Amino acid sequence: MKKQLLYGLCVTVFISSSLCADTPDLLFNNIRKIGMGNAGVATVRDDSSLYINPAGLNAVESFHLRFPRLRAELGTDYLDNASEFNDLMDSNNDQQAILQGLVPFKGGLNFQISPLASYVQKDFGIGAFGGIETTTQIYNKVSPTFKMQGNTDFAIAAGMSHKTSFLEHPVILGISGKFINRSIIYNDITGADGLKMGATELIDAINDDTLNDRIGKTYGVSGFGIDLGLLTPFEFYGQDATFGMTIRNIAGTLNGNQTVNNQSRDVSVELPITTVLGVAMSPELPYVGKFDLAADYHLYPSTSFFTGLYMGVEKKFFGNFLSLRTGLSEGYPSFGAGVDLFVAHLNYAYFSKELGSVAGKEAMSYHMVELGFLF
Amino acid sequence: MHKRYVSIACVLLGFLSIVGLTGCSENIFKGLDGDTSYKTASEAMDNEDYAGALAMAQSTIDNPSASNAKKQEAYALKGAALLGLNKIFLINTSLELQNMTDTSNVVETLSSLFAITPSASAEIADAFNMAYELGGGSLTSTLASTASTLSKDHQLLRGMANLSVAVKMTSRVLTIASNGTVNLAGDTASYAEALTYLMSGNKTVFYYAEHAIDGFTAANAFSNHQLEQANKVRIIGLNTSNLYTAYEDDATFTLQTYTDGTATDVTGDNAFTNDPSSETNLEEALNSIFSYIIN
Repeated sequence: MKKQLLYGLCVTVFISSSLCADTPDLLFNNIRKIGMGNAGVATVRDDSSLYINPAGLNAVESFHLRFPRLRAELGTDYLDNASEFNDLMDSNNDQQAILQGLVPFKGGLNFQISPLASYVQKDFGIGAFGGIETTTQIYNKVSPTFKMQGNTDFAIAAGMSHKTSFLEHPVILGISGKFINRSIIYNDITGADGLKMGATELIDAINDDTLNDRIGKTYGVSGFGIDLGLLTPFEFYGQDATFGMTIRNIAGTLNGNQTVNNQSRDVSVELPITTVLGVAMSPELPYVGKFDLAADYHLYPSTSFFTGLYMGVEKKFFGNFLSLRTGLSEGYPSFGAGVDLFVAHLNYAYFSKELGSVAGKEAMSYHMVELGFLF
Repeated sequence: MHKRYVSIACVLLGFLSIVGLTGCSENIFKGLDGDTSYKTASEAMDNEDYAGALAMAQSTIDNPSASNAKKQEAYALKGAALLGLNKIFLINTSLELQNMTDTSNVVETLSSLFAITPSASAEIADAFNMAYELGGGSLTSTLASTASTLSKDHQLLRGMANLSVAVKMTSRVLTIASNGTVNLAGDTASYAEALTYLMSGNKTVFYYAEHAIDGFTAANAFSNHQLEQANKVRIIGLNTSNLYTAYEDDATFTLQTYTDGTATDVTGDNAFTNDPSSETNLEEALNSIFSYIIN
C-alpha cells in the first residue's frame, strides 16, 4: 500500500512536470532563499513554508508572530535608468529622443509586504502577503519593441504539517491552501497577458501621446490553490541531510473577467503547477564550523536542465546576528547578507534571473532589500 | 573569535570565486545549455545575434524548396539583420524626421545618419522589397500599391531601408549646400554622369524613394510631419526622374511636386522650366529641385 502511494506520488510529480503554462507563479519569495541561489525547499523553516514547502512548518520550534516586512527588489538596469524610463512615459517630454537613448532597457521592479502578517507554531501556520512585480524590456535598436509583464498578488494561506513514517523511515508531510487575488497587466486590444508593442505601435503611440494610456491596463482574477510538501531525513557521507519536495498550485485556477475592445469577457488563469525537489544539509568543517547547504531542482517550470538548477550556502555568525549567503541561481551567482538586531531585521540579496530559454541567454540582475521590525 | 573570522573569509572567498569565474551577470553554464544567440533579429542584442540571424535567413532564401511564406519571412529577417549589422536604427531615423524643419537639408542630414554605402543599403532595401513582393505587394510609380502581407513593423523598416538608398545614392554624386545649391561630389565628372548614375537601370533613386514612402504609409506609424519630411526625398526622386527623361529625350523639364499622391507643376516663385541639354542647364535644373525642397 505504501509503495503504491509512493508510485502514485512519483506519477503525480512527473505528470505535473509536463503540464505547461505561461502564467507566473505566486510572487512570494524569501530573501534568505534568494541569497542562497534561490534554493530552499528543504531548508525552509518559518512562515515562508506556507508558500515554499508546507512540510517546513514541522521545523518551527515555537509559536511565532510576524508583522509586515517590507521588501524591494530593483533591477540594476532600472536603477541606472529609472529617470529616463519615467520620462519616456511622460508625453510632455521628447519621448522619441528618450527612447533613442534608452534602448536596450531591462527594468525589473518588485515590491512586497511579506508577510503582511503571519502566525506559525509547530505544524501549523497562517499568513498573508501582498506584492507587485513588473518586468519591462525595450529591446532591439533596429526596430524597438516594448514589452511589459507584471501582476500584483495578494494571498492568504493556511497550512499544516504532520510527521509520520514511511517504510520505517520518518517523513514529514505538509499541505497548505491559498486564496489568491491577482491583477494582471494585459493588452486591452488583444486580451493577451502582458503588453508587447512593436516599433510601429510604439512610435504610433508616442506620436499620438497615448503611450502612457496603453501601459498599466490590468484585469483581476481570484481563486484557490493547494501546495503539497514533503521532507525526509537521510544520511549523506555520514552527515545528516534532508530531502524535500513540493508540488505547488495544485488546482490553482483563478477566475475573473477582462475588458477587450470595450467588451467584458470571462477569463480563467491556470497557475503553473510547480514541482521542486531539494536537498539540504548542515555540515561542520574545521575552521568554518557549521553552515547550511541547499540545492533545488525545478522539474517544472524550467525551460532546460540548467535553468532548473539552484544551489547555495549560508553561514551564520555570532549566533543569528549576521548571516552571509551565496549561491548559483540558474547558473548566475547570487549573494546575500542578513543582520538580526532583535528589534530590526535587515536583509540584502543580489541575484539574476534568466529571461531566455537557455542558461546564459539573457540575464536581468536585481538588488533586493528587506526591512522588518519587532517580530 | 578567530575561527569566526576564518568562516567569514571562507564564505566571502567562495562567493568571490563564483563571481570571479563568471562575472556578476555572467552565467556559469553559458554554452552548456544550447545556443544563446538570438536568431530572430527582433530580439537580437549584438552583432553575433544579427550575424546568426543573417546566416539563418540566407539558408532559407537559398533553399529552393522553401515556401514563399518562409522566403518572405527570411528576406525580412535578412533585411533586419543587415540593418543591425550596419547600425541603422529606426528610432534614429524617426527622431531625425521628427526634428527636421521645412528648411532642413534632407539629403545631407539623412545621409549623415546612414553610415553605409549605396550598394550596401540597396542590398538591405532589396531584401525588404522582395519580402514585400512575396507577400503580394507591387508598386507603380504613383504609389498605387497592392496590399502585402508584410508586417507593419517590417513595412516601417522597408521604408527606412529604401529611404537610406535614395539619399545615399544622391549624396554619392551630389553635394547639397544648405541653400539647395548642388555641387558634384567625389569623382563624379559631370551633372550628366550624376544624373545617369541616379536614374540608370530599373532600380533608380526614384524607385527607392517610392518604396520608402510606400513602406512608411503602409506602416501608418509616422506623424504627418515625419511623412512630409520623408516625402521630400520622393519629390527629389520624381524630379530627378523627370529631368533624366527630359535630358534623354531633348525635351523640356518642368519642376513638379507631389500633393496628395498626385504630381503637379510647381507654380509661383519656385516654378522652373528649362531645356536640360547642356551641363549648365542640368546644373540649374538640379539647383531648382533641391532649392525647392530646402527653401
